[in-house]
Amino acid sequence: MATTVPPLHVQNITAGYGARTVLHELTLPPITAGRITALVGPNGAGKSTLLRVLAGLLPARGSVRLGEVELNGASIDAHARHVGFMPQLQPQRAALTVFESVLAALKATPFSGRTIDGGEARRRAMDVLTRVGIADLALEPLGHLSGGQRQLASLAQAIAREPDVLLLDEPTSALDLGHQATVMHLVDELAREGRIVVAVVHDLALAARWSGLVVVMHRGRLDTAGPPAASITPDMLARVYGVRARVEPCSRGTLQVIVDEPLPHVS
Amino acid sequence: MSASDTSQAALAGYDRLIRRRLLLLAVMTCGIAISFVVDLASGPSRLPIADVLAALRGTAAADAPASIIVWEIRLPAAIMAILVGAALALAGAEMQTTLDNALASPFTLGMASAATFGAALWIVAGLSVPGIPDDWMLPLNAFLCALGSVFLLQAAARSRQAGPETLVLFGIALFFTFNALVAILQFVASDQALQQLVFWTMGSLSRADWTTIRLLGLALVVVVPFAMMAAWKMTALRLGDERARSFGIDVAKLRWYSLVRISVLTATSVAFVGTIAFVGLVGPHLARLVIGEDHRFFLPASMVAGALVMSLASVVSKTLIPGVEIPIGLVTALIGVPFFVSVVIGRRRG
Repeated sequence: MATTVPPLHVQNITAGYGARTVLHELTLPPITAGRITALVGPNGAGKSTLLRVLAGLLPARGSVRLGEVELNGASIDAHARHVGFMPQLQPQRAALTVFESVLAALKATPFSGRTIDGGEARRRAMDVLTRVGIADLALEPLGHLSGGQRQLASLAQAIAREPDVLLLDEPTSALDLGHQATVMHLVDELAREGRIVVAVVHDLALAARWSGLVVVMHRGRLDTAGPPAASITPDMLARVYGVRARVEPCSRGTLQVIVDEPLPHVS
Repeated sequence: MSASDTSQAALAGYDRLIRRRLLLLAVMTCGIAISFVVDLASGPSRLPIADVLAALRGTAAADAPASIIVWEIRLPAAIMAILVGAALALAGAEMQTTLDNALASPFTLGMASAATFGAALWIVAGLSVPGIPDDWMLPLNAFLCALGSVFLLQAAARSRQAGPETLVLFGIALFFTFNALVAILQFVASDQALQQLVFWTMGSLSRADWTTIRLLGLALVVVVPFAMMAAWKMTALRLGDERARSFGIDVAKLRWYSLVRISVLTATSVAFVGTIAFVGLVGPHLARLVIGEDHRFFLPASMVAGALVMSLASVVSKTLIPGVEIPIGLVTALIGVPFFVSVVIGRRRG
């Protein structure tokens, strides 16, 4: 990417499903390009809901601003110009090849404000697959892929339109260690090229290893936000996750979380 | 192999895949041509094939029985079989994508029940639009009710972001409602009207004539280009609603236009030939099996497969019991039921 993307400002976001409010007046520190921002928190904290608001998939009150561009309430079209989204669940039954799924991402709507022709779409799609390291799987049906391969194919679909902001909902869930590392390394590279990357991450060790900013959510509100060392602390783990735990740097300095026992229920 | 070798190989493989698909489409189209000729040559009146050909070429006298049978009965029915097969299979393909359900068909959301209700309104109660010739009342009523059911569906679903489940739920409600209304009309119907209604619901190509062929052909000519223009969007919809929206697709609008196309094709078909089951299910399934779901190929392949199945069913309906023409709706249902079951069982295993 030629230029670095301006920061993403999330202010006073209130959102939910029907009568149930999930996010309450949520304001985050500015999210900058260059490093992965990890969204962490217990189940039901509102991480996926926030991601869907940022992706423009769920209406919300408040403001989501990318530099000077207000995204909250913007058209589907305007969102798609800036934001790429990788959902948690991948379709299992689509009778499409990996290559076709990426082609569809490029051809479904005008890309960069114009309709690209078949040759250019093919070239771009193949570049994306090469980038993600699955060019050899191009002609495999999506349904034949392993979990890790499927995740990479899904990532390829999300980055095909060259979004400024990449939103990933649990990109490493259900992956083995090797594929976790492959996916996180790739996502880290995408961030370092100057994109904003926000990923919901369940594994705090992964968040500590790969992200520059950890946003801890709890019951639809912001609990803590900061670099891993400042936000992943025994206090936070007790308060948010209800566990007694230690946070210790390993021999290479990356934080490790060791959970000792659940705390007795207070609420 | 270097990265560029790999991507070159993949692109070449993709080209081969496209060529294979085009070839399959061509082969199936040839199949339709063959079936069409056999369809013309078969029928209760046992015309020698030479007479059929002479009538087609126009060398037989215009008032010869062979000419009349071929031009007024067999040719319209054979063409209608192909058009109805194509229309219902295209509607089925769109319905399966729209509802993300491989077991959906054009009739899933109660459209056939609505059409039957429309037919029953005319046959039993004599109700229809004023100022229309009697001959047209039945198809018009069936058409209006089928179309109306889709608008009801949309009106009910519009209040929320209607996903596939909501649509199916409302569709099932409509199905039962219209079936109950038809039952009420059947309950009060005279014996004669009841018989006419039952025969109508069986579906038959014998009602085909050149006017109805033109109208269904027109519906296809109007609808197919719009369906093909939405092909990439429909392909993207196979990746899930949220994914499709993140590509910039207005999914609610896409669904709405797709339902309009489905309703026009289904309502027009049902209006002219009655309820013909399962072609809308079988056509897309065959297409998906041999071509996949890239809708640029999937939609045409569904149409070709549906047309082929209907044309073959038409042949079977005339040859199964010599001298008797079974209503084609019964034939497609008899082929369709085993197919439906095998799909469900295959899915369980998979």
